[in-house]
Amino acid sequence: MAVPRMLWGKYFRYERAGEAVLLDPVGLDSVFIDSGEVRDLAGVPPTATHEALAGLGFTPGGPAADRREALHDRLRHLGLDAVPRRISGLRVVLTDRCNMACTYCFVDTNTGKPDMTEDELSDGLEFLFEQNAGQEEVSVQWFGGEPTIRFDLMRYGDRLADTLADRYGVARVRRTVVTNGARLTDEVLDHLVAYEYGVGISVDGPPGINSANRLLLGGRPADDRIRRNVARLVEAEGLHVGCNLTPTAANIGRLAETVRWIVDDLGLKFVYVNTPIPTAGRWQVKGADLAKELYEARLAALGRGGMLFSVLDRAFQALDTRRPMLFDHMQGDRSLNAALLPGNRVSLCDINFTEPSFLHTLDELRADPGLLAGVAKEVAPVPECGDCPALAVCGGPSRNEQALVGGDTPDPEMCAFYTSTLEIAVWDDTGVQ
Amino acid sequence: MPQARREKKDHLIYADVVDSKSKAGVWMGERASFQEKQNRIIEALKEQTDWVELKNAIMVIGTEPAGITVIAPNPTLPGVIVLADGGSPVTSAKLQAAAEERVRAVMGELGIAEEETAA
Repeated sequence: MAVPRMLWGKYFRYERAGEAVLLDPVGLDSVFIDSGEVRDLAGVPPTATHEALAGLGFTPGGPAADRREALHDRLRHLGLDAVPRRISGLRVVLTDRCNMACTYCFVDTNTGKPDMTEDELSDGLEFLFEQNAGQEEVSVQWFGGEPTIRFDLMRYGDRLADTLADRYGVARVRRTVVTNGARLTDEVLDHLVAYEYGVGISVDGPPGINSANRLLLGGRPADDRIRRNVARLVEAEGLHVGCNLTPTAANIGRLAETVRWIVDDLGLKFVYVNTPIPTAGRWQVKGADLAKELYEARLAALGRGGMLFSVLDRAFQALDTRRPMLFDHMQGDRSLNAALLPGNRVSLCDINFTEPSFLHTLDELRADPGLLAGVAKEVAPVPECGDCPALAVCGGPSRNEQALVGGDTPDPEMCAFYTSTLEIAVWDDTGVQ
Repeated sequence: MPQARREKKDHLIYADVVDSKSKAGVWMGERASFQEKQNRIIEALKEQTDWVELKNAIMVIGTEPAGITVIAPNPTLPGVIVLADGGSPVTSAKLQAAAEERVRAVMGELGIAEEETAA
C-alpha cells in the first residue's frame, strides 16, 4: 500500500479513484471528499471545499506540532494512561503439559517442570480477589499447556473463586478456558456448563491446514477428535464457544476460507484471531497481507452470521470513536490481565511467561503496586512513529514486542500491518462493519 | 460536502453489530436468535407491503472495494437487478460495474445473449 501524501503538513491524504480521505493522525478525525471536492481543493483558497473542511475542523493553519508530543498531550487530555491500575484478570497457567505439540506455541510445553499446586492456585486467586474487592467483575482463564489435563485444579479453583467472590464483594466471575479441544470428558463438559464458561478452542483451520502445525504428541492429527468435541460443546446449553485462530504460514492466504470452514462446518460463530507474536525475534507473517486477509476473513464471518475479532478492529474503533487505541494487554478501565504461573509468580504480560522484567511474586506486587508500570507501553518510542499515519492506532511496540525483537524499533512487518489496517479502515465507512 | 466519518461508540465485543446501528439499516437490540427474528420481521413486512418474491437473490460482501452488492432476478423483465453500496459514489459505482460485468461474464459462459440497450 502506498504511503499517503500529506495535506497542509498535518493531515494524511489517502487517494483512490479520484476520491480522497483526509486523516488527522492524532485527533483521529477523518473526512471523505469526493472527486469534485478533490478538484476544488486544488483551487485557489478559499474554495467551498476549503470552507466546508474548516467547518469540520480541517484547516491549513495552526502551529506545527511534533506529532508524538501532540499524541502524548491528547492521551493526557483523554485520561488515557499506559500504566495499569490493577490486575483484574488472571490467565492461570496450570501446567505446561500438553497432549499436542504445536510448532508455533509461545509456551514451552512438556518441559517436565512441576504443575501449579493447590496452594499456589489458592494464593493467586486470593490475590486476584483482594485486589478487586467491591468490583463488578474479575476474570479467570485456565491456560496451559492443555489446562483440562489438570481438571482437578480447574474444579478446585472454580469453587474457591465463588467463595472468594462472596468474601471480597466481587459481583461476577468471568470464567474462560483455552483448550485444543482434543480431550473433553463428560465430567469436564458438565463442569463448563455449570459455570457458564466461555470456551476458546485453538484451531488453525480445516484438517489440511490444522495438521500443518497442530499435531498430537505422537505426530497424528487430532482433527476428527476436535470436530466431535466442538460439536458437543456447541450443542451444550449455556456455553459461549469460540475459536482462537493463529495466523500461520499454513493459513495465510486462506484465512477467509478458513473462517468459512470454522463457521459453516465447525459451527463456531465467534472467531478470535491471535495477534502475531515475534517469538523468534521477528514477525513471521507479512503485515500488509495479514491486514488484508483479516479484513476479508471478518467479512466472510459477518456474511455467515458469525463474528471475527482481531487487532484489525483497533483501526476501526479508533477512527469510529476518535480515540487512540494503542494499549496492548489492558482493558478499557485500565486494568490488566496478567498470568499466574506455577511457583507463586505472576507475569505482567499474559503472553510471555519468561521475560524477567515481567515476573514478580505475589508479595512483591502487594508491596509495590507501582511494579505494574513495568508492562506499561512506551508510546511512540522512536522518531519514525511521528511520521506514521498509524501513530494513534499502533503507538509503537509493546513492552513484550520490545523484549522479543530486542529494542525500541518496531518490526517492519508490524509497521506494515498497522499502516495497512488504517488504510483499510479509512476507506470502509460502510454499514457492513 | 465533505463527509466526516460517522461516529460509532462502545465497540462492545458481544454487541458489535448493535453498535453499528448509526451506520446502515435498522438493528435489533440483541444478537440472540437474530436470524429467527429476521425471518419474523420479513414475514411481518410482507403483510404490510406490496412485495414480490426474489427467489435466489443474493447479497455479496466484498473488500475490493469494500461494500455490499445485491444481485437479484428481475421478477417481471428479462434481466438481473444489481444494486451496490460502497460507502462513496465512486466505490458504489465501481461495485455496481464490477457486479454487472460479472453477471455479463456468467451470461456469456452460459451462452445467454445480452440485449443491447438503447443508446
